[in-house]
Amino acid sequence: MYLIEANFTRCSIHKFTTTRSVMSKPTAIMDIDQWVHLYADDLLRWANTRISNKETARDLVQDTFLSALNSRGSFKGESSPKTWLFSILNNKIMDHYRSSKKGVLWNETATTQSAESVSDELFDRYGNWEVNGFEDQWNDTGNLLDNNKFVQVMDHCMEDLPEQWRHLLQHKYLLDKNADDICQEHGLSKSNYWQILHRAKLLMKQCLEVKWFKSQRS
Amino acid sequence: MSFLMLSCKKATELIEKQQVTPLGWVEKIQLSSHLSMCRACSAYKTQSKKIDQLWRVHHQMPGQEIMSDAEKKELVEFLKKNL
Repeated sequence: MYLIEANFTRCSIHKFTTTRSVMSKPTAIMDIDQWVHLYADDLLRWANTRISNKETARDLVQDTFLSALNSRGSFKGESSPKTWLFSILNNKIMDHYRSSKKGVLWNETATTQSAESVSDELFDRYGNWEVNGFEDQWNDTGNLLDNNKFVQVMDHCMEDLPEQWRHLLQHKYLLDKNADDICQEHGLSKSNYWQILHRAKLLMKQCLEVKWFKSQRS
Repeated sequence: MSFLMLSCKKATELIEKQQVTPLGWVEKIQLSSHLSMCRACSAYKTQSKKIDQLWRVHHQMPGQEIMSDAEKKELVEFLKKNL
């Protein structure tokens, strides 16, 4: 089974994608071997960040490939295979949460609203910083991600972000999409988009300072 | 408050906005003026870049293989069977 390999070039030249995506022509047969080797790790990695049970995460990745195979006729190659597979996986993760007996913890509007008020509270009513003093602590962040404890804190902080925001971050940092594409796909104005990024960064800053930098202070 | 004086909240917004879309010339002046006077927001600008890097690595985790070749082969076999 063969895929026609082609360099995937984006219409927008703003962002240069560092990974060369393999694009299949609409009528080409999906090469299972190739797709598993290209995308299984990324998909599983992502599933693990969303689902605590490793077995379940693996099952969902398997189901993702299965769904993709079964509906390969509908994959027209308009997006990259990676994007397509990730959207299938994300839907499966959502379905998993919805049907999980543990109960759906998300009332997404409430989560976003509470996250917004947390980020607002970082400033007083004049718009000045409420909390301060951690500027210097960020200077030695060189090899932080080599530190497992930090990685755990970081994961924890990511968990605190609303699902919608994490979704956008995934599209930006994992799928390497540019702002225009993200805005169009999610029905956001540019202004909404950078405001979400802004709030997400404020929350990350706050979370990392409280959970990491504070304890590093001698 | 003079039109040049941004709040820190507004300044941090512009720092992010700048990453996505170019600022107007008034915004540029307001922001650089604020940053020259505000240590916390200058620090925030650096922190913002660091978070950007952290997010990038967090999402891409280069080189970290979590499915062994054997497991991938198994998956491929399973998928082929269920075609």
